[in-house]
Amino acid sequence: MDIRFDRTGSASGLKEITRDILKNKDIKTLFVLGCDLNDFTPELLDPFLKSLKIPIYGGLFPSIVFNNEKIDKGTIICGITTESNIKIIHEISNKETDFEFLIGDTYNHYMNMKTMFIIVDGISKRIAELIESLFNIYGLDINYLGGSAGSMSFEMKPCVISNEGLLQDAAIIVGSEIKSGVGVNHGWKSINKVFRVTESDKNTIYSLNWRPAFEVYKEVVEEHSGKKLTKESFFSLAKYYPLAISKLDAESIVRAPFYVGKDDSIVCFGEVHQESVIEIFTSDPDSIINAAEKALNSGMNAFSENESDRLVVFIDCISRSLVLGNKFQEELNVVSKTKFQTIGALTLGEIANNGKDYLEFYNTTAVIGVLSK
Amino acid sequence: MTVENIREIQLFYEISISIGQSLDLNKMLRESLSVILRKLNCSGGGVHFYETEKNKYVYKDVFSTPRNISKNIAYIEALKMLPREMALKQKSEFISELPLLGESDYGFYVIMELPDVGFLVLLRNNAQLSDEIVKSLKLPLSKLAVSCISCKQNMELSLSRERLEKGVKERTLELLRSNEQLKQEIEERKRIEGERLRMEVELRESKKMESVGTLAAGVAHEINTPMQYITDNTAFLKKFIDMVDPILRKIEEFDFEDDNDRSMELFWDVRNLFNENKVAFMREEAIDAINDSLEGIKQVRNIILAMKEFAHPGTKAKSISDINKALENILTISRNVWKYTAKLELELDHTLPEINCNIDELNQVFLNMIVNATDALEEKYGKSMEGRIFVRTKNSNDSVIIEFEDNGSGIPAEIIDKIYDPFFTTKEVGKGSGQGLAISYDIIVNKHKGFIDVESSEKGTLFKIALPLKI
Repeated sequence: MDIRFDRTGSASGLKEITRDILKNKDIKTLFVLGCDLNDFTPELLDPFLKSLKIPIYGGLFPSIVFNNEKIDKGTIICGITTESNIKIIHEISNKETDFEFLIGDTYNHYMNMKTMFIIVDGISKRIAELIESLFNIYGLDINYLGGSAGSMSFEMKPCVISNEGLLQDAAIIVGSEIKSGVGVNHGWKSINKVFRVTESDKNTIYSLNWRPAFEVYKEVVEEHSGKKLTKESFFSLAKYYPLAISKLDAESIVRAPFYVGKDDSIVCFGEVHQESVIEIFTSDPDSIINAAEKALNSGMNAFSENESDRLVVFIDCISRSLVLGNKFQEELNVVSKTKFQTIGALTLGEIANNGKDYLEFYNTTAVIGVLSK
Repeated sequence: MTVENIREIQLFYEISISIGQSLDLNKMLRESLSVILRKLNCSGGGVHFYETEKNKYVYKDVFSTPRNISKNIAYIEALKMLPREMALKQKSEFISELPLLGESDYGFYVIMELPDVGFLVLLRNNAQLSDEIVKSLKLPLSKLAVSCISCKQNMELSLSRERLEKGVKERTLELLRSNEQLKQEIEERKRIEGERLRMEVELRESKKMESVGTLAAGVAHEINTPMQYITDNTAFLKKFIDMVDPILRKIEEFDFEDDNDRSMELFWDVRNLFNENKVAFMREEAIDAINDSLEGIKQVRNIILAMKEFAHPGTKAKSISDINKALENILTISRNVWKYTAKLELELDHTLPEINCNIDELNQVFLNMIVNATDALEEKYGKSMEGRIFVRTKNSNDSVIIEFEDNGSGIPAEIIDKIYDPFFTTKEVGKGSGQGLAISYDIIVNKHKGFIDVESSEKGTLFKIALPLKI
């Protein structure tokens, strides 16, 4: 695996490094992690991406991680020597898009598939449905690792890197022979208030316990934080109080609320089903950092291969870095403390499965993928 | 109540409410199983139904999440705990053992009853479900079982409706096909009937033309005789005119202004010419010749009119016609046919009303009767003129009776029933087509709703035709 870093975040930088990597004829796939602030536009990049003779996949994220550094502008380009099988799904938000039909038996004959990487436009709706479809088809025989790309402006724009160019409202699914171990943890705790989602549509919650969602949420958050929660500065306080979809006898699935609608609805990264039981979570910096460490340990333990050279891929929710603020570096230091190289992205949502639990789409969660390098 | 209790109750409520949202079995199971697996953090699950097969219970895979769970080692291990088939009485023993909680090298499993339907297998990797959760799960699973039954019934109902609709469609299609076939058959029959009618008309026309042909020689002869003496008389009249012409010229020269001598001279010239040429005698002869010729012309005219009426192009339309006159015409034009064989006696009832009929077709019948009678008489008597033909008309109350009787050798009893059959004939080849009586029967019985009857013995044959006054 040939991993390079371009600090300029320019299209020309990406092209130059890519061309250099491709001098090695053993490189069969390219994996790219870029920043939303990079000078990447479809006009600048699409002709180049379309001209590539080998598969390329990746995304543009609010930030990326190179070793123990959080990068807001720059590009990580990985030349991978194993082959990949890529499927692009367009129009994810369109309810007519039949994921199971489109994915179908794409990877059924790919006997050596060990890990499935998924990069999805984080502003798309129906991401959880897409993930569920993958689980329905492929189950837990493989590991899943990925995240949702996009911008902190929460506007949908081209952010998925593919051989078709920069795409929006799309997902790229990559079947790979790379062996992996995956660890997941979030470190959030319930503030012991349970609610029923009495009305929702995809990632918008309209009511909790038959009351406007924002009204209920505001009450709890203001009571707990002692601070005023307004629609205008919603995310600045809401990032400390994610919602969590409860499970029986298992870890809850966290959903980060990021926007309040005019009708007092709350919009999250990822779907929240109607009739779900949800709680409001909170945390403290130590718990969040600890969770990342636990995820790292789980990932390392789950990587059963006895290989000396590994790559740590850190997929962390952007909201965690916002919550931690300056302490985020501590989290970075924790996850990059191994002797192996660490790369990663701060995402709008995380996709991971260690081959044991039901495959889920997470928010505000730390995911560690340990890959065979 | 603790937050944990509330959460648990709410989660079971969430599971329960997710069950039975569709009557489509696959959709219902997919949605229900998805929530069950997510809420219980299971790595997979599958629903199996009992089915009876050769007096044994077997279980069939119905639905699983993920789809490929049957290849999952943990799932295979869990299913090993179940008998693949069991005797009917063993089923209740098996059910009593549920829920079955276990652990293999590959994970934990729970097998739970879906009452009256089958069972559900859940896989979990990290830890076994607690007894409390398993206990609480029974109620939602009972609902799942009921939903499965509803879906199955709906499926059967849909299938039966589809079968019914298919049956109705097939039957409708069959009916449409039969209808189409029937239409085609009707069209074909119409075409054949039209063809038959056309051929019948053509046949009748050709029969008539055949009769015209038969009659032509006789008619020519009939015309020829008066024409002969008309010609002779005309020649005589020309001679008479030539003879009288000088006399007339002398008379023309006569002028009262002339002197007596000249007048006397002309008078004597006329007188001499008159006497020399026996003008007085010739004049009588000329008057006779003119009268004879007029009679001959009248005779020819009658024959031609009769022939014209007989031979004019047939029409299907009926019209008010005089049967007596038609018979007279027929006898006129057929005179040459019978006059050398038989004496014909016409006994017409002059009270006979005119009737609405197709006279053209009836002429055909009448001529046919005359020709047949003549043939029969010729066969018996040759040209000895012993044959007799009687043609009679009678006025019955509601019909007109026409009889044709001859004193021929009669029709043998063994063939009398066949005489109206098409193509049946006893005449020598080339003389009769066997269509005459068949066509006559059709014209009288079918076209005019009348009847035709025959009485025959060795002494002769009587054909009696009755035509109703109101057709």
